[in-house]
Amino acid sequence: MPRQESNFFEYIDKRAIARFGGNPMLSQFPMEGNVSGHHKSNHKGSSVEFAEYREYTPGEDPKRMDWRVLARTDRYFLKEFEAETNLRSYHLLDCSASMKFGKPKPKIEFAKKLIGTLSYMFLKQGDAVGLSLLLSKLTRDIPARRNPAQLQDILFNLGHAQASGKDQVIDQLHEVAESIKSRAQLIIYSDFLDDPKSIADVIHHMRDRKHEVILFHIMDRQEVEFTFDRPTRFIDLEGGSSILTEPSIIRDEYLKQMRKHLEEIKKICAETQSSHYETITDTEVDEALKEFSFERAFA
Amino acid sequence: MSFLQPIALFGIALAATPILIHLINLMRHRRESWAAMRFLLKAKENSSRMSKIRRWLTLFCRALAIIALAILMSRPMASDDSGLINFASQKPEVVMLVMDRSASMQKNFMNSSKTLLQRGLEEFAQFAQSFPDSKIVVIETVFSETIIIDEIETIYSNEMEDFFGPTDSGGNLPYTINQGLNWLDDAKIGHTQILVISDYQKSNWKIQENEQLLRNVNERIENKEGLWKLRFLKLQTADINNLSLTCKSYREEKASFSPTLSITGNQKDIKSLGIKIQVNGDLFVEECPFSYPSTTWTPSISLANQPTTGWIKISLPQDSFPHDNEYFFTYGEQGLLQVGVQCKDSETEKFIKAVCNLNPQSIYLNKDFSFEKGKLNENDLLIIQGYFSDSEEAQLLKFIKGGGKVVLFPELRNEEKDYAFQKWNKTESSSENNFFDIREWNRNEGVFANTANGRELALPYLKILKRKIPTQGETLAYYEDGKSFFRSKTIGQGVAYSFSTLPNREWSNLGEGFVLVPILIRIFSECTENPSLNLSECGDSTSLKQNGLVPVTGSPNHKPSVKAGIYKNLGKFLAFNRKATESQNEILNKESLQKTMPSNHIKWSNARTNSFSFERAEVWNFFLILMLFCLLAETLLGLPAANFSVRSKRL
Repeated sequence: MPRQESNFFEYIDKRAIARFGGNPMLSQFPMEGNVSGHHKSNHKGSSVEFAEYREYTPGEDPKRMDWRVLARTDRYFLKEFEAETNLRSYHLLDCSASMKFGKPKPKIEFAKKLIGTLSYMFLKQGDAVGLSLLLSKLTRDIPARRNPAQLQDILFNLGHAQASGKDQVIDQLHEVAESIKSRAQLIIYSDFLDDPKSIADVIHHMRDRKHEVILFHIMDRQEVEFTFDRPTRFIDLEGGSSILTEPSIIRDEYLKQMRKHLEEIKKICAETQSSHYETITDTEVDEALKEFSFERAFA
Repeated sequence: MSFLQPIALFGIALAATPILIHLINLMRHRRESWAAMRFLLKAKENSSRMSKIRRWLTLFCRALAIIALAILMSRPMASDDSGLINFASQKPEVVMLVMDRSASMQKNFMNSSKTLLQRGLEEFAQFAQSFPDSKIVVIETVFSETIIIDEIETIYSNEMEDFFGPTDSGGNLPYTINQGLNWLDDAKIGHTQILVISDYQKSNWKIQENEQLLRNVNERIENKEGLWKLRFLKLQTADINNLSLTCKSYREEKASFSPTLSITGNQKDIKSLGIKIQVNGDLFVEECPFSYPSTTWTPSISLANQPTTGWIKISLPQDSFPHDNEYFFTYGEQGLLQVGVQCKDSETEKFIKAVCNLNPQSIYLNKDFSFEKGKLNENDLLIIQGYFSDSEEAQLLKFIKGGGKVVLFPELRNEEKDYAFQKWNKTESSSENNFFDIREWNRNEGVFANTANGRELALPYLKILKRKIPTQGETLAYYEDGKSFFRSKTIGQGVAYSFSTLPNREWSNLGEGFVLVPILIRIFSECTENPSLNLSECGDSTSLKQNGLVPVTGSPNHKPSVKAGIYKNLGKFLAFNRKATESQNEILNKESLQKTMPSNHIKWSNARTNSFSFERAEVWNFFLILMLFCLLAETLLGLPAANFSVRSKRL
């Protein structure tokens, strides 16, 4: 099947590439790759990085036996080194209708730019990159691959992804967590408007499966500041229900709820050693990735 | 509170605007697609009570700011009205001052160097300034006549001293108030503000005597249903050290004068007083022992080497209130009506002198009188028969113009000469059996009035054979043929009475007395209505009738109606003293007045010492501050919460 041409290169932010392209983006947890890479592996292997001495067990490969130790002590020891492998980075994009919100740029469009830029950077350092579009009823998955053509597939799918339908993200994230067998890096792009408890459950599920979980919490400026000055009927993007209110009256309480929600998600992330990045859609992509890139470069 | 532009108060209705805008905004809401509904729902659910209070407070501040602006534009005035807000039209047609001008109003106002009268006038000026378009009317207790003034400053001018200046008179406030209301009724005045200023001295109110009058005043005010508003302003007297002098009685002997004086004072430490006594200007001082609180002292004042008639002034030492320190007397035959008679016809003269000698206790026939000697002014009344020279006529005219009274009888002979002020026709004679009869005269008043028991004068019984008809003046009695029997002519301040016949047997039986005697006695009586008493009080009816008196002891402008002192009239000294009741310092209890006048349209207040009682300053600045405060509060209430700002900055 011929590979689909992608005209969605605008999802790769050139400023971010120029700014962070030279930095390694390392995993914070050992990864289970299939080729050699820059990331720590959960296996010991041939590398320049010494790990430990371990007593030889019959049946093991005698190639890694330390003959000098055998000569000195007449005992059989294996000299082990840290293995370095590639990682599989899965980008999980929330495509529920709530991601349609945002001015001048919808949250989903901003998320696509983040995914496009990061995919390029991961592929460039030899990591496998996959994409899961969390649609309302099904999940469209692109398995993680490390060949450069993967970028085109990802961009193509991103370009055709639309935010619509009711939020089923939590269930789909559980499915994704279950479906990825080996350790991987799961980057979730969502507004995380679900119940914090269910978000906690799914992050715990992912962590139990030894995945590294990264949350890009995408929000719009209006959601954060709630700067409405006249009576407004708010219509739910996902459910169609509406509420008429005087924003100035409920602003404080809204912002309080918003902060509480953010704090809870941050707390969950801290508990599960997951990363949480708040991003506002009106910021530049490189600014949004600055913190992420900095932390990964020195992981 | 009242308003100069009450029409602007309609702007208060605009206070509903913020509420209407709020409701319209709710109706004209915008629609917004929204993702974070869960927070919104929770926020609305948990929308705190504080937020609701804040919203209502914001609306309240906006409405209050508009109300303050509307009130500000209606130019509110602070007033002492008991009602918080007075929406009635504040443009009375008339602002009337009823002024207590009694002597006690010359005392000092509490904590002030100004007199009660001065303070009262200032209060009224302040009061009247609030109604710049209203007519200003003043009525005071001395004359009880209304004065309309154009500008409020007039009350301070020297020219109006006679009407607004201090007096030594008493007063009758209820009567004066009633007179003021009468004027308002006569002038058909609608909306009126009446201010009564008084020190509430009991003697000037005569509550028991005037109770019915006060009730009538109350009823009249009540009947006007708020159109007439009566305000009483009590002026509090300062506590001062004061001595007061009054006379209880006096005894006049040939060479001495002994008044019985009452001296009251409120200083316990005074043991004796140096009393100044002036007799016709000769001053000497006598020591008077004094015992607190009052002393009666009867000095014997020697009249040796003094003229037969004269005056005496007794003065206490100067104190804080000197207006009650003096008392004036006259001595000599000041009380007799002095009549000068000069007739060419001896029979006429005999009859007239006989009439004058009927009552020597009250009538003094000046036997020395003649035109040659001059001194016409020493007489109160002249009875002249016949023509005299031009110079004598000039003297006579001057006497009449100066306030003298003259009874003229016609010349016996037919002469071409006439007086400038009276001319008689030629002598008419009747037949022996056909006398000139008198048929018509004024029976109700004047010299021909019926007697006290209703009997007519016996004019029809006069048998007049000859007559000369006087041609000038008002006819008081007519002959049957319509010609004048008796005329009265006012010349200057005096009066000339003219008979048309003589008390001569050839002319008439007038000399029999049954008509001439009562007529002359009535003329004498009219003359004695002049101040023949040597002790009169300022402001009483005698003093009010006096014109042309020359002050002896005071300023040349003084008048007996308002100023105590010695005055001279036609060579006679007259003493006018301060109203005796003014020395009674008893102050009326306001409650007793309120009981009599309980109307809601009558207000009672005391003059303030530190500011004017009716100061009606515009209070727009208060409402400007209120408006700005409301706008500021509205702005602050509209500000977002501080913690949110910090949060959004961080993001």
